[in-house]
Amino acid sequence: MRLWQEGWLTDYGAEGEAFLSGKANIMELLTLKGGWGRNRRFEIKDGHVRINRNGQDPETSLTIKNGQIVEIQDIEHPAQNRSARIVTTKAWNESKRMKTDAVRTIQRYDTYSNLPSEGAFYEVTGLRIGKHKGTLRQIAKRARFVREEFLYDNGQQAYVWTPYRKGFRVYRPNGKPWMRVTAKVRRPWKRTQNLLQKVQATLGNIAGDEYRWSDEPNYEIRLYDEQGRQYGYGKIENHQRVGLWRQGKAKRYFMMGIAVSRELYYAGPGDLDPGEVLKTGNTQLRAALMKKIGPERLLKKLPFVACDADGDNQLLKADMKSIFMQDDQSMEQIRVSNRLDEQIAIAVLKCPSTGQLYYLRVPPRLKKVEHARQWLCGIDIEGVEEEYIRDRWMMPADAGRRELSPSEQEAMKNEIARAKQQEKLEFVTEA
Amino acid sequence: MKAYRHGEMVLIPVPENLQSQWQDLYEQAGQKMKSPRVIAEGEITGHKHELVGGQVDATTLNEDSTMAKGTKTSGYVSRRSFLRTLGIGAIAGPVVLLKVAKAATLRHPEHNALPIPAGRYVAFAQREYDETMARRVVD
Repeated sequence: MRLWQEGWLTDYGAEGEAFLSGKANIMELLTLKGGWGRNRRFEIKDGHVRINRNGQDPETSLTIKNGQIVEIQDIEHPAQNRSARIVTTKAWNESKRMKTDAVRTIQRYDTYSNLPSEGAFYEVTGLRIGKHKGTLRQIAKRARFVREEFLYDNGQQAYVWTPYRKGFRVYRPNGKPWMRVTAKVRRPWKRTQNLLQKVQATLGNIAGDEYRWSDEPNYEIRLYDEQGRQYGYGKIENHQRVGLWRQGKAKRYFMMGIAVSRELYYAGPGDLDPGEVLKTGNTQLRAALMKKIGPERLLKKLPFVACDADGDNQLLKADMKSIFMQDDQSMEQIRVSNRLDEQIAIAVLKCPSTGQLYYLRVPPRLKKVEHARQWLCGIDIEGVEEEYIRDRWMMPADAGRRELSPSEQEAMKNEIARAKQQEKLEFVTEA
Repeated sequence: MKAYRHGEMVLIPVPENLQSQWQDLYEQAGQKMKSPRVIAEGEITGHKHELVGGQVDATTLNEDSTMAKGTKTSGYVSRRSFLRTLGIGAIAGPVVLLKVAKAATLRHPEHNALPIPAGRYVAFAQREYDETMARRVVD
């Protein structure tokens, strides 16, 4: 095998990686870059291989006899004297000294373009699923990643993941199902151990936070016991955990991704007080509870009036006293600065991505849904829109409508003129 | 004034005339964010608004944020006065000064991906009305 002797790689302007293949234990050479030998794999029986990574230290030289590496030399050039060489020689047996469970990396690749044309390009032995040891492999075909597999030491397959499957299953060493995810699992090949960690974590605790398995909006996770009976279950809708998530006796209840109490989860629409729900601080929880109540029931139960609507978005208003009870503690905190503050205004806005309705409180002075959207985004719309400026001048808080003196009229006109010069908020994109 | 909205987060590109003020605030805000790509974290859902790809750097201005030197004409600039000049009212919670050197994509598990062109931005969470003050929208 004259071609593989020292110097070949650099003579051909190629870079390379040398490694031992899994079971055959035969020295192989994989060329990564360079014209002629790009992404090709060769077996080497006898010879020397020099691995030169763009001329950077350390250069490594391998001596191979009968397909086995017998000696490794790391060659470094000291910074002070680049022509000098520091050669570290070690026998292969010495460098192989590692723990039983140690991770042995064949080679990791950062991009698709660098994958070998065929075969396993990443292999880790001694990993575990539960208490069962096995080997993880990532395999390429035609220089593309095609699958990741985990084999138990008894030869049974724990899982195979391919980028195009609609589901993902993990089996026990006895061949019985262990876990099933009914969604395309997002590509894990770059961070293969993340997938394994995810498997381990999910098997350990589905009721915890290890639930994001896929970029798909809707999917399910099922766990099975040693007899193959389902004992764990969780469901994702619209990227959010919903319903009952259970693993054995552990149970958690979710509404729109938020963990809630069992009582709240099973509460019927009639059991919830819309007034109380509107006071909920977290908008996501408020939206989830409102979803349960339903917009029609809200309008039926509370005297809200739709002041303005724009598609699915609405601006609702009601008298605050009709929403909150007089003896309510929160009423004491309310600073009634003008008559309009005795009203409560809710902007009901539909999320363009999820289609969910959010109920957000806005100043009661606002008259249009679009103004409410702008106010929520930080625009003090009352200082920008002419109608609010006029209202402020002509209807002060402590009195009804009044006539303005000529000087006041002039001041109001100036303010309106200044406001018109201000740039309005324009949404480029919403998601 | 243009704006990008991603769930409860609002990103406003800084206009040309306020770039120097933004830069002063950015430099004087002190420590840069450890993970500038995460501009907001979900408080109970755990879902983040995260910038993917491109080149991003960011710093946070808290409500009691330090004053910045400002330009020769503007004098000292505080977070409040800068936002006011930008046309933004009182904002509760942190304001992120975001520098996108190369276009990135804003992602969140529940929302569609939003391409963010290169530029300087002010990012903050939507506010909500409260009788006593405006409060931050949290999910």
